[in-house]
Amino acid sequence: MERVIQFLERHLLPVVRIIAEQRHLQALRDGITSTVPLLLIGSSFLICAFPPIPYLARLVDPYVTALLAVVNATFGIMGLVASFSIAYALAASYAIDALSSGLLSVSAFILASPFTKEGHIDSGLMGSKGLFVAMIIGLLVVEVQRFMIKKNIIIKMPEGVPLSVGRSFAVLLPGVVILVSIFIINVMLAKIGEGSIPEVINRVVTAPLLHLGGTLPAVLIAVFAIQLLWCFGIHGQALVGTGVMAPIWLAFTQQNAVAKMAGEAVPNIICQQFIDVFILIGGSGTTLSLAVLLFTTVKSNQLKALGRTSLLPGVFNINEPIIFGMPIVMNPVMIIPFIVAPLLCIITTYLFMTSGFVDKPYALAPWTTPAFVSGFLVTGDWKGTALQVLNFIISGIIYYPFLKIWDENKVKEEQEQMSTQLPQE
Amino acid sequence: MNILLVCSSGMSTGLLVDKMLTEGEKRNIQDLKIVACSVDEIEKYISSYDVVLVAPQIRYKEKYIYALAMSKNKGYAIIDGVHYGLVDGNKILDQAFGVMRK
Repeated sequence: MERVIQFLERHLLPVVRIIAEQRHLQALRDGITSTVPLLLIGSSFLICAFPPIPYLARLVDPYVTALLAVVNATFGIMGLVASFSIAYALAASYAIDALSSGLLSVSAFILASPFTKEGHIDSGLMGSKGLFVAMIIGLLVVEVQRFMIKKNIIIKMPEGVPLSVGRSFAVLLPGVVILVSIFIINVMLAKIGEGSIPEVINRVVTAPLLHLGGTLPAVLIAVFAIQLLWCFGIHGQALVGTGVMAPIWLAFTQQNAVAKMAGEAVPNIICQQFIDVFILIGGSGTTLSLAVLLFTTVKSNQLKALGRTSLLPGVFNINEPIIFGMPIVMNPVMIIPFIVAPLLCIITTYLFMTSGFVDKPYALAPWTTPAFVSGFLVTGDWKGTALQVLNFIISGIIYYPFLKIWDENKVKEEQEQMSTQLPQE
Repeated sequence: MNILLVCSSGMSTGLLVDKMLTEGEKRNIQDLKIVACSVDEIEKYISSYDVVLVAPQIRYKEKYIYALAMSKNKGYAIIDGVHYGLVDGNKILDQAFGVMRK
């Protein structure tokens, strides 16, 4: 076991470093996470528009359209916002003028999305359907800009010209090149009858990615990777969850919100809330149950102290105290339940939702929302909370025997320390 | 002394701030300022701090943070995992003083 751990530490960590510090992935991550506050605000209005209690539902009925306007202005423009924030993040990392890159990217994004017959912006392309378009365009815009700056193909203003004026001129040539290229692609695609840029990206990139990312095996693999990284003391959720899977999971979240808004059945089981609310109860590893067990059942002094420090953060889904204090990191005993518990919870959650017993989540809640509250909030269904309780219990059952072994270990260790210290005194 | 604690989102290091401040009070340390931030914000904050302490779960970003801390001549350390887990303000404060640059 120790050899395996050493081997992985030596070979896994460098790979993780590369992924974590890769500029484009980082820009995607930062750009997309910057849309989350909007989605949270939108979610609260979505919950208000469809309160789970019939009496309240009748009460808000006259205001539903007004409430949903807020959802449109948040969930509905997720792609548009991302087209700005992704380009902004990447440009900032190159120390290029981030504001102008962001604005240019928005313009390119709108140009790439065909207008409706009446000549209006197609709002259907501004949300999650436009998310992957925004990702690709946002990155490309900045790369073109950077290339041209590097080759010195920009209009430079003489010294003494105010900075903001110089800036606006510096973005002119790259802007023309980018917009003209998109214009040409638009015309060519129409000519060969392939539709529009979003349609092509949707067919080639989005559909396969969402198809793969929305399956049960994909979620199991992703969460396995998250858990494994934590076993080496690395923030797996930040790397794999936010870093790689977020665009896919959030796209599903948005689809669910849109469906709910239209009064249709909520389509996706797997989405951001599936992970945040039902799997990571108490933090990565479904450790809220472990925190409660630590607080109530252990004998060793170190673990008792840990129970006191880890319970309250655990309620808000923060569990670094457990991961490093127990520790779970590099701990051959605790690693096993730490990986198994969340994977089992994925399966139970998936089963209960495919069978229709528990409603699928449609609203997004902050990941720090306490368990048992969040389950109800995101589904509007009390059975959402019941499912959280079930997962809490399942994970507790899995942790318990391993915790006992580790506790005995610790008690022995502490007794040995006592007996070696006593004679000296 | 000004200490900057860095983790993924500034949440879990946030737990430490109070503990370290109480410890500082016990030791009668004047002018102790401790703030937790996320790794993405570090460039914004680093200049006004003397020591940067990094949470162990983001040691995959060590290279970047280390280089940044060195270029600004700041004290730098990765927080010991067990001390971090037990939110041991005492030991971590020791660690901060250990790496402080004159």
